Amino acid sequence: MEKDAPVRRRSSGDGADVIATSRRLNDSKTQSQYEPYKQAEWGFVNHWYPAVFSEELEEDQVEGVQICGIPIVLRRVNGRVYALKDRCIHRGVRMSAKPMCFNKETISCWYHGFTFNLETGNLDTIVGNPDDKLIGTTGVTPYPTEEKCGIVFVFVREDDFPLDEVPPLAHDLPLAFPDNSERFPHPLWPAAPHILHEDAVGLGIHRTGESNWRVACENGFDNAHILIHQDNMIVQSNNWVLPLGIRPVSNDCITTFEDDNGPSGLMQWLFSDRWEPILENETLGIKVNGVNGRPYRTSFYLPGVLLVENWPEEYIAQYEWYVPITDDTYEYWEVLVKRCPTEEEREQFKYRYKTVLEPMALRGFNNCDLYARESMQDFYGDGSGWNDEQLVDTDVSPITWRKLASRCNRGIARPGVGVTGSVKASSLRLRDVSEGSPSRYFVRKVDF
Amino acid sequence: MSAVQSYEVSVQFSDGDIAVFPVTSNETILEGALKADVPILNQCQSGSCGSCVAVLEDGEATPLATQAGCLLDSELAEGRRLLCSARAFSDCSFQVDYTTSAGAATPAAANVFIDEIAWLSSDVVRLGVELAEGDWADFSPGQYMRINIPNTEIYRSYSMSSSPEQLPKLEFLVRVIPGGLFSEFLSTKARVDDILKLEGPYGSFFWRENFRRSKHLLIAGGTGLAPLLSILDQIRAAPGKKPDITLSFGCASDKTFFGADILDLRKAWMPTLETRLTVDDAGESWSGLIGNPLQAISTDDIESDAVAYVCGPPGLVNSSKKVLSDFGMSESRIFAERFLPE
Ligand SMILES: Cc1cc2nc3c(=O)[nH]c(=O)nc-3n(C[C@H](O)[C@H](O)[C@H](O)COP(=O)(O)OP(=O)(O)OC[C@H]3O[C@@H](n4cnc5c(N)ncnc54)[C@H](O)[C@@H]3O)c2cc1C
Ligand code: FES
Ligand code: FES
Ligand SMILES: [Fe+2]
Repeated sequence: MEKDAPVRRRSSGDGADVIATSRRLNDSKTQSQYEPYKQAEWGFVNHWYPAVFSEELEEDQVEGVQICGIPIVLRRVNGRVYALKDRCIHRGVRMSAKPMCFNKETISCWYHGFTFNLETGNLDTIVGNPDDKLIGTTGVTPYPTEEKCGIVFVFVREDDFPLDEVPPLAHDLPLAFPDNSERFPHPLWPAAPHILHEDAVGLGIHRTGESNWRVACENGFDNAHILIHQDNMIVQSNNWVLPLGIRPVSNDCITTFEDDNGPSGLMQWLFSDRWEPILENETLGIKVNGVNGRPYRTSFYLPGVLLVENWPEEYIAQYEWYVPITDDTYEYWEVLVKRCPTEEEREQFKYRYKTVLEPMALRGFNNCDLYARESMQDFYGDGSGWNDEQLVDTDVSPITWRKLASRCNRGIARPGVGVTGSVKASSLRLRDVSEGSPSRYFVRKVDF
Repeated sequence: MSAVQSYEVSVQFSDGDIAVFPVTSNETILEGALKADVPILNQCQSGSCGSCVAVLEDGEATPLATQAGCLLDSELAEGRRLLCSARAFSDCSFQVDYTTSAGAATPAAANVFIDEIAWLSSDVVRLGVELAEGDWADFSPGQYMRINIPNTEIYRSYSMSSSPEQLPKLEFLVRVIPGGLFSEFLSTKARVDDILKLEGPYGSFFWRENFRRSKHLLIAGGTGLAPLLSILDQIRAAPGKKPDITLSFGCASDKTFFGADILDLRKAWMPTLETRLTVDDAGESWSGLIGNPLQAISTDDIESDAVAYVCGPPGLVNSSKKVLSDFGMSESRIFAERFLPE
């Protein structure tokens, strides 16, 4: 430090386009119970997330995705899916942009040939420099994978999260039924199918939403938002009549749980006397006569997994994930799960899915949710919304979730650095958008 | 007067690295180490801060007669030595419980701007600062800085209550002592946006990552809570399973008790944290325990692999070390910082 140099206040540093790289644990004076959640702009790491559908990754296929600001390359070899950090240690190129594999054990970077072991991530060789001293001393982070119910799950971890502490996939999935039917009885519908049931079939879609992942996931179990679904085709064609809203009327309307040997989450006791459907608003002179909907129940789990039991039809459950890509994009996963012990039942489910359930439920009904979340993004996108929102009693659900998530997450993702979306208006992002192909969840393959 | 002798001294770091260097009979062991660039933690170089402590494994090394030193007789008997205040009388070997890289972070000077002066109780202030443009000060959670009293050459030591994750912001918890120099400055003169000079980081009291899976016992008296808060936030931010943590925290009286809200938040965020709150002197409305924070700990709290971090007034720290080792804890797993006046 020079003696005479003037001492200046730190300018805030983050230009409008650049994300601050420091993660503040409790910087604001408005410290609250869910401060850690407010800091999780880029998501929670050290959790299991869906990465691709099984059918999106054929034998030997290579794809790149980004989760919680971490680029990940996937390759299927002999049926098994391997996942590595998709950022070459040499010059940061994404291996997935131009897949190059010389054998079944490795993936090579197409730029200068750094070659990484699929299992360990180690730098096994360099194509044109096989005696270099760097070989064997470094590598990229490998990520554990699991494939269940037609979905490839990846354990998205910090580089130094110990592999021997990786929890089972079930710890990041919804509760299973009937195992939990006594704890959370469901007299109005049969036990919900679970991703891990042997005979479970999962059919669904995933697409990119333009909002922060937290704004997205809070919509999934927000009981006051049925208003947006009044006019949906699935509602009207079934002659369902929805209430105007649903209010909590008992302080045990939500049960949270932190199971040592299972997921952390919250269960909403919908369709019980702990929640009251609102049928009339006198101020507005609106009245609903004879509610006629289908009973359902939502529960929500870390790191952001929704289970809707008995939805959209009996014997089916809807699962959703809101997988953070950056701090302003997330991958919206909607999967319908049904137990189909026979080939015939599988075929029937697929047919029903294609003809009715995907168009009417996953798209028709849930498109409203996607728009609703994006409509909140400007308010929450710069962080001000978290302080300026004025919540009411029906918001007990998101508040309970925020507290639970602050407590039970396995790590707050660091803001993405040197990855897609860390510079908001990068020339690449702008070019892709102007060409009508915004580069989002999947890596855009280079083509030469 | 006998001729100057030279001895060979070796220091083993916790990562297994061993440094060997010569020390003459007319210099302290720390002086010899620093000449040879061996990264021994140190600060006051006068036997009062305790940073330079090492365990004598072999050989003869004796404290200087001219310096009192902050070690207890029992600690001396165990072989602990303050290297800044000890001479070698033969070849010796020592062990320190930190790695070579811990001692290598050389203290630097930095300017900070005051962001916040908040009274948490009638005698505790939270001082929030931000490093000035171009200045930086890395530290390990648990360590302290020396803060200069403006327009004097006087420095006082304060432990960060914030974690390194919050840099460039730093936070301190300062107990305001009537008539104390820094205390007076902080309570009467300091204003938001003022510039302070500080130096650091210092101290061998910091979170040991190699014990991160062990049961943690944290014992704090008064503003001794500060470095333990930093450690708590670091444990929360570190990847991997969180250990079970028991934090016992006490103040002299319920009237000066502070930090209940800070600890409630930590408990809400950390399922594995349990807190015990104590005061020596309680009025009607006090709902916590009565006594000092050490009295709230029993043998039931000690698991075989437990580590303890103790911080606060010298009396509390000294008795904690004694009681915890009586409970069967190994000295090498008890880390302590005494807030000694200077
Ligand atoms: C490694 C280390 C870390 C420290 N960290 C912190 C911290 O995080 N927070 C904190 O509040 N303090 C901490 N201290 C103590 C701090 O450095 C000062 O000693 C203390 O704040 C008094 O400074 P002062 O200038 O206000 O009083 P001084 O001018 O130094 O002292 C004035 C008078 O008060 C007496 N006195 C000094 N300290 C005490 C005391 N604790 N109790 C009763 N009388 C006392 C002195 O003997 C003197 O008579 C730490 C000390 C050390 C060695
Ligand atoms: S950037 Fe990958 S090998 Fe050079
Ligand atoms: S440096 Fe030895 S006690 Fe301070
Ligand atoms: Fe919805």
